[in-house]
Amino acid sequence: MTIRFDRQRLTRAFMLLLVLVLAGVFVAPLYWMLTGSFKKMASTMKVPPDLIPLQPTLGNYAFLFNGTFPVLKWLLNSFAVSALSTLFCILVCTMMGYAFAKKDFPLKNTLFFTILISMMLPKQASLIPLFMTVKSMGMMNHLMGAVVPLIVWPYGIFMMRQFIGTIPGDLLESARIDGASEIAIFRKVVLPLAKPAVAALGVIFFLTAWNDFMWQLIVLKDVGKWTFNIGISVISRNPVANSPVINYGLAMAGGTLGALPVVALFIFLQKYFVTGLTMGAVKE
Amino acid sequence: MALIMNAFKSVVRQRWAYYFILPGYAIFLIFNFIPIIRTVHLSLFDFQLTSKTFIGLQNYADLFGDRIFVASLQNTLKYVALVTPVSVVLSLFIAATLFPLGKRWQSFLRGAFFIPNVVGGVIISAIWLWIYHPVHGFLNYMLSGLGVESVSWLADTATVIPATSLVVLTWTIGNMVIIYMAGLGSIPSVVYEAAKIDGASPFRTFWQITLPLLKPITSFIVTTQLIFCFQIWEVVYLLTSGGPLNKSSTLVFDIYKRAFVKGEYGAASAEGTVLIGIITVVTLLSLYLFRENRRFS
Repeated sequence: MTIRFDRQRLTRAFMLLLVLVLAGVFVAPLYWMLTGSFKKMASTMKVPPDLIPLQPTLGNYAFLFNGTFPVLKWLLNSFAVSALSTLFCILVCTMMGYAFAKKDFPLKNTLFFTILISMMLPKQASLIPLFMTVKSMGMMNHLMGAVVPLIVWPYGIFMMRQFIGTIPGDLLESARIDGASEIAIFRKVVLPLAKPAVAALGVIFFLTAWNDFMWQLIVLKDVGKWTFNIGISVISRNPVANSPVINYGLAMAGGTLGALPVVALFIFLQKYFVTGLTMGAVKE
Repeated sequence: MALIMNAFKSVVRQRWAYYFILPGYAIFLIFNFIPIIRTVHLSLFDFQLTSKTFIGLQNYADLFGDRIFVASLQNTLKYVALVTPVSVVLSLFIAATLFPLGKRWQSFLRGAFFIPNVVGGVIISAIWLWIYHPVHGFLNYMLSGLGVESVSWLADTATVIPATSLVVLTWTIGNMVIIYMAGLGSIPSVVYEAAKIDGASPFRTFWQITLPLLKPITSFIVTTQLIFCFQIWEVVYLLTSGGPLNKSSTLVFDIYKRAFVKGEYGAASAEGTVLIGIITVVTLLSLYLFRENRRFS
């Protein structure tokens, strides 16, 4: 009996050790990024590399803000794209989720099915027609060009439909009997009750929009219109500012700057992230 | 005739449902659904910046003769074969190990695994680009401490796919760990108690009770991972640009190059159509393999 018990504990301990090592592998690059951001270029090329920056410098950050690159504009653009698309997405997904969950109407299943299918189909494959459409609407190189194609997120509709489906129909019925208009019912009954789902959707969609690299790369052409991710991708892969080689310290500083808002968002709103990710996947 | 009248009356009676749906659905049609159909349509044309001529299936014939396309296809399959099973198994392992821990540790470690996902592929790739550097990258330094020779991770055709796959893994596993942990949480504890009473070992409990109960979630995770892996391109764009010798180029990366660097919109659309076809088949297969076999005793 005791032997089996010890063996179980040993296995568990071993598993935990493995997981801790893995966690290290996941987190170590971020430590490397943070320390690297304080290294002068010569430091970043040292062999063996410093585990802690021995001559820390704020030079990289200074460079980021000295105007060579519109870094603040980039951050603002990322934020604007993410915030706007999140706002529209919440609106659209809640409205559509409500209709699919609580109303019965001709073609309901067909319409929902088409949305479900599109979840399977890769957006990356239909870039060219999308590009052509956005161009013909005059949204190229414009904030809205990056925002609008994102708005209808099938996963979001799915999520809202699932959640709103749990609202008792009697509540809606009694509101209707009391003479409330459809819009009033939506605003005063459905929306308040759907708040947790809306929060979760908002949080994970904001992150999705923030990291929507490919489409932003294609639509936003002017340096001043770039989102932060585009800017980082350029700094981290090209020598900049008369430097003969890639300045990893600068790239790390940029990375740290870009990571700060989203990591902060995650730390404070972790519970909403988890709700959002699991709502569509796990049936309670 | 009566049927049509009834349908019409139904639509009018339910008009608010349509008011709530139509704005979003219109955007969906224009920006999500129709582009996919147009991709297939455009694939039948020789479509460049200045000209557009109908050439039928010629694009496809040219594609399959193009060795860069073939290489991209092969590499994409390699990525899928490598990343999907490893990521699913690993995330399940991590979730199962973290689950019995206390709330604080669960939250903390779960967060640790999810952080790369939050930070995003661009920044994570930027860091790994430096870590993988053949001369002053941290990885080679660590290995040299163990007596292993320096490897040019991203420039060596043998290591480029595993190396980029590792970056992809750190980026996506967190997502799946969170979902699996929620799934484990949704299994009622009475099930485990019953198993314990029956004297089942933890190992057996996991294999014969937990795993089958997780099947719907595993189905979701495997299917979404497959779809994700077929579309790997960011790490390629940021770390290797498809090299060395196209050994890491993926389908989506090639589509991007063909369309936005070379301007061959028709060929890129054909490639996109091929991707759509592959993903559809793979998704249906995955859903079929994980289908629920309902047995009533």
